[in-house]
Amino acid sequence: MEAPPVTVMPITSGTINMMEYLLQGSVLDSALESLLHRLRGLCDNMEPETFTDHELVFLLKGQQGNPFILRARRSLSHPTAPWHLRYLGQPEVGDKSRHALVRNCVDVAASHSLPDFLNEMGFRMDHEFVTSGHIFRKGAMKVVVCNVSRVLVPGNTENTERMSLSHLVELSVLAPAGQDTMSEDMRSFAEQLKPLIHLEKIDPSKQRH
Amino acid sequence: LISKKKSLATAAQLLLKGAEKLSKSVAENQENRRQRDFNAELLRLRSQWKLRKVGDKILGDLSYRSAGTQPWHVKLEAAQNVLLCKEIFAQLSREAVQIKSQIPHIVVKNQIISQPFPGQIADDDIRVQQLSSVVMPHPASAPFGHKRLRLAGPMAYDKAEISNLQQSEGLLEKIIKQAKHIFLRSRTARTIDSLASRIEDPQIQAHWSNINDVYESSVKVLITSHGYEQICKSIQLQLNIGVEQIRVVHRDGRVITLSHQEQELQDFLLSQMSQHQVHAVQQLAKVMGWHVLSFSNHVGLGPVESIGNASAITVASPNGEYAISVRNGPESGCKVLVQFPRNQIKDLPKSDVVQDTKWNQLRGPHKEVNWSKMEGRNFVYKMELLMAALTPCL
Repeated sequence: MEAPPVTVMPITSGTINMMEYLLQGSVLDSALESLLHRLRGLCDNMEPETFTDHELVFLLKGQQGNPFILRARRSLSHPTAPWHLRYLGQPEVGDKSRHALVRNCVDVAASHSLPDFLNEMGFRMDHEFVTSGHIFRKGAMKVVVCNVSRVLVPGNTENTERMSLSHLVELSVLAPAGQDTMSEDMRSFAEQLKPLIHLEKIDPSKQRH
Repeated sequence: LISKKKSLATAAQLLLKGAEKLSKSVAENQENRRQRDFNAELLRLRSQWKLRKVGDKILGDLSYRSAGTQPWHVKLEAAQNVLLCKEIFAQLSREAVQIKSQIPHIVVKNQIISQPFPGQIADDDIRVQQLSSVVMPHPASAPFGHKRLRLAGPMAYDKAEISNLQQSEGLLEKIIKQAKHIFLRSRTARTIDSLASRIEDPQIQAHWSNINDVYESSVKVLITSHGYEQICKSIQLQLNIGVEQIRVVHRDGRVITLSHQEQELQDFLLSQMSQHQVHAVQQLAKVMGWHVLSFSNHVGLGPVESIGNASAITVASPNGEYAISVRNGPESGCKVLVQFPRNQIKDLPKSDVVQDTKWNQLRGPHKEVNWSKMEGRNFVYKMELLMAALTPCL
C-alpha cells in the first residue's frame, strides 16, 4: 500500500503562524495596588483573576550555537488544566518605529506527560520558576501582572523565593502574521498606564549578561 | 352590694391592665417600625454614595449632603447604558465582519446594515442585552480561547466531540435569523390577506397559531366556498414559516417547500384555489347523486397555464342523460360544458354508422354554458343549480 502524499510546503495559514506583540515593564511592590486599581478600571469589566503558574524552560542543544528553547507551563491554581507549551522565535527586525516587540509564537496545549515527553525527545530542563499574580484583558490584549520566584529545590514548587521586590507587567497580543494594527492599540493603552508604569519593548537578546 | 362593687372593680382593673398592655405593645410596634424604616433608609442612602477621584486616590462621599440627587443617578444609569450598548455594538460589528454571508453586512459609524433578503434595507440599531463571558486562561501564558477546546489536543478529541464544543452562532446571526423570520411571516400574512380581499370565490381563511418560536410560525390556510364549508373542504394547507423558506403540508400529505419569494406563495395559493373549485364539483356530485366519470388535477390538454395547471372533471347525472364537464385554471378561469342526450339536439348531423334509434338515448355533443350569466353567488352554488336543473324530478 502506498503511503499517502505528504505536503512538502510548510503550513503558513490558519492559527499556526501567530505573532506575539509584547510590551514589558515593572513596578515596585509598593506601587502594585495603584496599578491593579487602574487596570481594573481600564480593562474589560470582569472580576480580575489571580493565577499561580509553574514554568519550566527546556533546551535542546544542537550542533550549532543557539539551543532550541521550549517553555512548558502549568497552572498550580488549576491543577487539572492542560499544560501549555510555547515556542518563541527571534524578535522580528522590522522598522524601528514599531512600538512593540514582535516575534513568532507557537502555542500548544499538552497533557500532563509533557515534561517526560520532552525529556524523551532530548530536551533538558534549563531552569524553572514559579510566577503568580493577576491577569487582565482588554479586547484582544492581555495584561499580566506577576511576581517571579525561583524554585530552590528542583521539582519542589512549595519552596520558592521571590527574585525581586517588584512585579513584572506584560502587555501582549496574539495576532496572525501580517496584521500590524495591534501595536498602535497597545501603545495607546500603555500611554494610559503612565506614569504608574512605563511599558516598552525590551529586546531579550540584549538582556544576556 | 359592696361585694358586687368590689368584683366589678377587679374586673375593671383587669380590663384596664389588659388595655394598657395592648396599647403599650402597639406603641412599641410603631416605634420598631420607625426604627427599621430608618435603617432601611440609611442602607439605601449608603448604596448611593458618591465617588470622587483626587489625585491618585479615590474618595467616597457617604454624607447626606447629596441625598436625593435624582438627576445625577439618572445620568449615571444613562452613561452605563451607553457603555453597555457600545460594548454590544462592538461585538456585533466584529461578528458582522467575521461571519460569512451571501450578502455582506455594512458597518457604518453606529449602524450595522444587514440585508436579510435581497432588495430590502433593514437598519438595525441594537438594544439587546448580552454579556460576554470569557474565561481567563490557566496557565496565564496560554492564549485566550474556549476553555474546553484547549483540552481537545491533550485529550485527543475526535471530530464529533470537537463539533459539539463549537459555539453555535453569534449574536448577529441570531438577530438576522429572527429578522428574516419576522419579514417572511409578515410578507406571508400580507400575501394571504391581499388574496383574500381580492378574490371572493373561493374564500381563503387563515388561522394563525398563537404558539410560535422565534424562528418558526405556523398558519393554517383553508380554501372554502361560502355556504358549502362542510362539503368542500379538500384544500387545507398547513404553512410552516421558517427563516428562509415556507414549508406547506397539504391535507393529502404532500409537502411542498416554497422560497421566500412572495410571488411563489401567491401563485401556489392561486393554483390551490383553482383546484378547489374542481374538487368542490367532485364533492357536490357525491351529495347530489351524480357520478364522477373522470377527474384530473393537472390536465395535459387545452391552453397552457402560466401559473400551475388546469384541473378538470366530468360528472354524469344519476340517470346518465346529461354530463357536465368542468375545466378550471388559475389563469384561464372556468369553462363548463354540458353534454345533452342525442334526442334533445336539433339538427343532429346524420351519420351513416349510427342508424339505430336506440343510440338516440346516449349523450351527444357538448354545449358550453355561459357561466357568467348563471344564477348563483359563487361557483359551487351555480354548479348545484345546474345539476339540479339537469336532474329531472320524478
